[in-house]
Amino acid sequence: MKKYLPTLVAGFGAGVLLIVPMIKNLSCCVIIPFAAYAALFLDVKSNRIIFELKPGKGAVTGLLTGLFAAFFATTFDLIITFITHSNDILLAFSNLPVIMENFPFDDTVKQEVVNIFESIVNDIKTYGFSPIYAVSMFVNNLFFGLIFGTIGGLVSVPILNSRLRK
Amino acid sequence: MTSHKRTKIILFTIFSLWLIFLFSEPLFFNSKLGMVSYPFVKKGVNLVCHQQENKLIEFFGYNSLVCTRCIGLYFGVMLGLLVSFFIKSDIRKNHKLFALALLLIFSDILLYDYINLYEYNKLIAFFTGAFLGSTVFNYFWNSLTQLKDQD
Repeated sequence: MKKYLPTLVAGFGAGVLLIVPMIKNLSCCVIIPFAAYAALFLDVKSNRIIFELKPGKGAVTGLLTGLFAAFFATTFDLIITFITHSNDILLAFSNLPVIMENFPFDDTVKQEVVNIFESIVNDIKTYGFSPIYAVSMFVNNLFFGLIFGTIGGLVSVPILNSRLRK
Repeated sequence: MTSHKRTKIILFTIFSLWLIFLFSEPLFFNSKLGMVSYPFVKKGVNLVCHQQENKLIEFFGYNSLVCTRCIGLYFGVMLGLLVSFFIKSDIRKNHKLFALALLLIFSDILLYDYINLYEYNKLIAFFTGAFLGSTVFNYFWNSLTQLKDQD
């Protein structure tokens, strides 16, 4: 368990930062790669690593950090949605019928799309939870979290190695 | 063709697809499936970008899926990849460039957001992002080649 603690801590931190709008607006796409760097840094410090890190370790650490970040970001998002019975996707859904008016679909297709969104919106407004929304968010976040985490881990290795050399 | 060159071509293809995806909003509004999946995909990308409306790149009435600085960063990565076909980078020099790129981005954020010296400028955001992206690619490539050479 101790082995995974740095990734868990960094992933949790990233999950928290991802739901704070002010921080998210400033740090944007670097949150998850930076979390991967933080996880590697914590690993180096806690295990007193003095030799150079291997890229494979960076990739695995980044992957796990991305996984935890995606898990926590989704969980926090769902908890906030559950408490407030609202989130920013409701706004996107409410605008969609207006946007769709400009596109050349027949009315039955438009109605089908609207029905799907309405069921999600109703679930969120009534229960604070929509299974379709929850699953899609988890899959999406997992996909992007894993990719950006792995890249972040790979990018972090040469940066950390330059520090270890000193 | 050397194996490193082949890897770069594969990376070039992947980065190109990613960049196309970031400008794929019009494709989502062409089918029922696209229409249904669009809000979820957009919210999914939200994990890696704040997607503030005024910071997105507009084209033919559509918007990019991520902000201008992120687009710049990915273009920078692509630029770094293209340059690496011709010039071999020194990772030690890259540390300084990386630090400078980070400094420029933080200065930009500080100057427009906190000191309010100027309004958010998409050109500045794009180029500072691109500069960072091109330095990030060298680190990424350094790790990737080491990983490949270990096999």
